Amino acid sequence: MRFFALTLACLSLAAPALAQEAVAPADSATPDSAAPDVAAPAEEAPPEPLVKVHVTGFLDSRVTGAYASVAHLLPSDDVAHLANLTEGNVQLKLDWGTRATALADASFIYQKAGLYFGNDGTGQRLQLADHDVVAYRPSAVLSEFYGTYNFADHFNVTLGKKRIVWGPGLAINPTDLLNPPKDPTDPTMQRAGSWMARLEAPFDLFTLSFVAAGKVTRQFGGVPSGLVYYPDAHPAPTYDQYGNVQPDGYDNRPHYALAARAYALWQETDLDLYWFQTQQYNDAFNYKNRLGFSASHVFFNALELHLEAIGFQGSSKAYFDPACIGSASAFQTCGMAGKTPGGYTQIDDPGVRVKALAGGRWQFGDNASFTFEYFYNGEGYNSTEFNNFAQVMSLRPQLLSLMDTLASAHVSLPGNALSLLSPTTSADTGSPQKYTFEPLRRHYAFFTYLHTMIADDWNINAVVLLGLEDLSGQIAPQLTWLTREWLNLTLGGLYTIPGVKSLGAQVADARYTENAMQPTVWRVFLSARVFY
Amino acid sequence: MLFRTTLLALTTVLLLPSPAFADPTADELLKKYDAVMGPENFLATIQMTAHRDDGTTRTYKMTVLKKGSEKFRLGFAEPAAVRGQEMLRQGDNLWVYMPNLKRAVRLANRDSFQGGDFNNADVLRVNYQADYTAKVVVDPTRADAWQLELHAKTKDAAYDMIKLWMRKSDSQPVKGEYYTASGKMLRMAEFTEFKVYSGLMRPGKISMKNMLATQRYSTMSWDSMDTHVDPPSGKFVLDDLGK
Repeated sequence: MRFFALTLACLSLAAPALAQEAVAPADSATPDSAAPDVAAPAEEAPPEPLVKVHVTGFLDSRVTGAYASVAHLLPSDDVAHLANLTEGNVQLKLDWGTRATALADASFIYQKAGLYFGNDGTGQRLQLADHDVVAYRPSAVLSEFYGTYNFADHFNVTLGKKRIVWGPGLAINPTDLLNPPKDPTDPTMQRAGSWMARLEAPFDLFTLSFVAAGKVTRQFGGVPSGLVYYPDAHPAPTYDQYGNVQPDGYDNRPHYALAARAYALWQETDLDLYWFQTQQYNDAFNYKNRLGFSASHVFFNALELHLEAIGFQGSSKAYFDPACIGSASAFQTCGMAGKTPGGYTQIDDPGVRVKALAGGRWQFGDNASFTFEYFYNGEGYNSTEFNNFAQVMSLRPQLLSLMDTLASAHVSLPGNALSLLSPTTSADTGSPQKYTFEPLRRHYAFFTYLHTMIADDWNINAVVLLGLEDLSGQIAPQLTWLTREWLNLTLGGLYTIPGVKSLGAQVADARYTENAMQPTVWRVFLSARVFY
Repeated sequence: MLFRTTLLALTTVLLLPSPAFADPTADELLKKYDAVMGPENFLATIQMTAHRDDGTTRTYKMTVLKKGSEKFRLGFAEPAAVRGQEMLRQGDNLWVYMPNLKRAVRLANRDSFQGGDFNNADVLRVNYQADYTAKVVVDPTRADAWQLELHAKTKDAAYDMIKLWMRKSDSQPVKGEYYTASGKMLRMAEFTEFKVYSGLMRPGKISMKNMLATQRYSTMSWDSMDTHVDPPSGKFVLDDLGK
């Protein structure tokens, strides 16, 4: 009997321990565990190879039909009404353990374009002979080509060509001074980066980055043959009072961008501070310092709000003297009299200008999201300046002819005025874009609606870009059918919203809104993309 | 006399509710769930198949790397259309890296995971102890399992309420139901194909049924799982995505 009492006492004392054991420790299970439906042990992953090779890419063929007006301010002569673009893309990635990575993203692009229309001089539509247009030439685009080495968990170096986008903006990134511009109506079109060296120190809650990038001054087949300096700069280029090189477009100055960025994850918010110095890199600024800031935070588990801003002194825009732009001869007369008809006249202006993007993305519960962004362009034209710009654009054919005449006579105008018509930009513009956003005015809005899996295998998205000063813009709807896991078919379009003409620039008897200056009225495309 | 006393004592002990035979607490079961479904560190290869209304399927293959309770990183290997896409969770922060944009964007946790019937948090946020308060409730229809009722205690929890069943034999999860705050059932999961991965027994497959579109369901299968990894923390920072 004492035995029973002792046993009961022991059972009572052991009860908490048994209660614990009722929840079996997670790591105590074995294949022999008594679970009723335990399968055989899962296979362990095979040992990692020394070098892991990942190859992917796509073949894309896009047929585009367009309609260009011959009555718009800019000429339609080089806009093909029928075009095909075929792109073969390969992306190769090599991983050496966890220390080193190399990546190449290259595209080979073949284009065939035709059916051009122009103005016959009386305002009538005239079909032009098919001709060579630079934008439709076959090309090779090396979007990325870089290697990264992790010297330690918290320090790595990247060398080569890479696209680095820090800001949270979706349609555009005011703080992106390094890369070729992207198409706000389809940001996926631009994958090209810049040639640069990056030092980075990433930690759990903050990252420090420093980037030095060089401008591509000449390239062949996507491979640069000139970087930072022009390979054949004239020995003694001349500069005007604004620091602009004279019209040959070459100089012996360096063309670079330096960037430092401090990122912090604070209170579940992405915070970035930026400093840039650019020297005639992707704009006309000389040794220009700029400071930037961005933040992104998700509210209510559905609404992401972001702000991205950059501030700087001066303006890289060209400004024109209204007294000199009434006609091509007035332009020339001003120039010959030593008066600057136009140029980067505010490039050293001490006034601070800001470019800022503020927006939000609401994520619905059904794979849909709606993004609204407002962009303030602090160096955009006011109404008078925009009017002057439009006036000069209307004179462009005559001024280009004048440029040839003056060049043959070895005459140059002050203010680098004529070279503004053919500005020197990076030789590397990245992938061909459906639409290029070059904001001339100050206020813009972007609306993006994306709904993936609207039905099985069907995605839709639409982007609306609106200039708020004249309500002109672009609308770009797109429907994608994920036909197979390896094949996407996309039907899309681009329509120019003409806006309110009375709010546009007046040139002679006509008025032109910003987005209706360019000739394309609408564009429709069908794309087939095969992934491998 | 001694016999009667002993018999009385035995009867008393057997009839009174004794800690020796008490059910585990809700917190203990929740801890077990987290330990099974989200071990401290692991590297896993996972396959998700979405079964759609028309009977067709879409399959995604991915690797998942986890460190501690707060850091997840997921990379898609198949199909080719999403290869290179990555997701990163650090605490309550979630980002997705889009290779065609060459950048990462912030996401909310409630998003559907690749259009399937799981959501992002089902895959990247297995930390029920942090996200939910739990209580054990009686389910008269299942004598072989404990039922837990979980209520969200943070705004980042994927669901407002979850009912979870864990079998009594070894505390493995067997079934889950996921609800809105109004009590509407969104999804139902079944945990099957129990396997041992690196010494850890856990379900090798989860079938998630969409209760709003009842022809749809998705399965997630674990091809491998290594729980002995110690990934560097540098793999879980925003700037490492895409590398």
